[in-house]
Amino acid sequence: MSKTLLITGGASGIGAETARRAGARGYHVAINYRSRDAQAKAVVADIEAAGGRAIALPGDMAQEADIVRLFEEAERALGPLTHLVNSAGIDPSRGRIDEYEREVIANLFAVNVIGLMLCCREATRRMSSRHGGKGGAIVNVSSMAATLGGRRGASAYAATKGAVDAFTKGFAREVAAEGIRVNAIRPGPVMTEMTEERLSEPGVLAAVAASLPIKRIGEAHEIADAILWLLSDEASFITGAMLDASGGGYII
Amino acid sequence: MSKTLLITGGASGIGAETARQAATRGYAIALNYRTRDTQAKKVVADIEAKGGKAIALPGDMAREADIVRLFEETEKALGPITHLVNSAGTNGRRGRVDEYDAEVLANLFATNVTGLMLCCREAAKRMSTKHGGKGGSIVNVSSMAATLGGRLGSSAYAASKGAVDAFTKGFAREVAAEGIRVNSLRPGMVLTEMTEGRLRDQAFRAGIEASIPMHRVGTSAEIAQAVLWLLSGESSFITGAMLDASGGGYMI
Repeated sequence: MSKTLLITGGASGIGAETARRAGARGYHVAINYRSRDAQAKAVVADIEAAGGRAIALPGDMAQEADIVRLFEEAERALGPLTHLVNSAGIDPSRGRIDEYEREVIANLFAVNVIGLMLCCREATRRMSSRHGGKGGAIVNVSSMAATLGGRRGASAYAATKGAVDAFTKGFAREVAAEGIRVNAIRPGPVMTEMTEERLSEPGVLAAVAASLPIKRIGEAHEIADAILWLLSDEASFITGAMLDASGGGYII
Repeated sequence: MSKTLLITGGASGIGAETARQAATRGYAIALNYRTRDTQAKKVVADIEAKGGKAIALPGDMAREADIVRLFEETEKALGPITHLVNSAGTNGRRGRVDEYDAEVLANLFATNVTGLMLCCREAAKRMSTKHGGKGGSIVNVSSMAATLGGRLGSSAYAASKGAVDAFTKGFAREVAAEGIRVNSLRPGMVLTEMTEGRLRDQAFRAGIEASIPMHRVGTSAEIAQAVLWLLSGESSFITGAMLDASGGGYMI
């Protein structure tokens, strides 16, 4: 059976690395991106150069119309979707609660939570045996921030990931008997486009590494390997699970 | 680098299936058992018939002297231990709290908790870079009972697995910077020698299946795949994690 994987936020970081590795494992890959047009096309070119099949599809995961169109275009180009990785996410300006701006928070939840949930809706309509689908596997990219509320100033981001975890557990139960597995992965600090600005500030990388039991931050490929394993049939009895990929969490 | 895996409780169920699968992936295997002498030798014979390397070593994981000897004998026969799966476990006797027998509880914790912790001690002494070791990877077989307290009559068993999870988190942090990864796997209901007596009751089995979102019990093979993935280099940033392999947990 051919495997078709849609990755939201697939032009950079964890999403891009997952796309490259999935391409090498025989998945046909639809890579969604919002603004990183050149990067998305570079990932596609890498996959094609390695003999794989991939396409890049623009779309803002905060916009329902974009999400609906993304799934339609992915299927038109590659056939029925069998796998989904919800990797699109933002981590906007950090700040204490007394500095919150309503619009920033609304946009954060629109992308990280509601967009992800709507992607799961679209996937369910296609994968669920209840809708004539043949099942599938979904991985939602959460964060270790969901477990302890995140580092200072990251409470809002942490809240979105807590919502992702709770949604994943409930959604997984709902579709477990309809052939769909759904799991969340919770990466600890990883160097990606989303984190590199913060991690590049003087002293931050060393301090973050020191706070991790394993004494180093993670690499995108380590997270991608975990995502691809959860997507694979080796994880056939695993659904509704939260997998921490965090180098041991936090030193306390 | 040659990989040497010690599995406690390796003669049956999840332990035996892990041993069989590990052998096909190139591990040399020491398979510990307590009473299942014939079964342990059968697993060894199966592995050898396929060109793998394995030995069977008796030992009661409730006894410190047996544990110490087990590690010594394993290393004498197979060289340095690089991987450990703590699969030895007992269900104890089911029953309400008002029926508890002190000796039954003590034996339950001696095997499921103290024995497992002493196995981790022996492994840490050998694997940790602090002791001149080259690192390693450990998986502790916990249970979904640890998450919600277990099914009716299983509170004591659940408590022992809750202890395993808490220990795993702390131990993982302690040795994360010394090259050792430690994770817990929490199987849901799986058909093994430990559970088959109860699952033979068709009404009981139907009730269990209805309570699992996937509407089926798991197989030892599915759990073994997860154990082996957590042991492998693909999970290099994963330590201190609890991975639920449960078909979605419990219907609520």
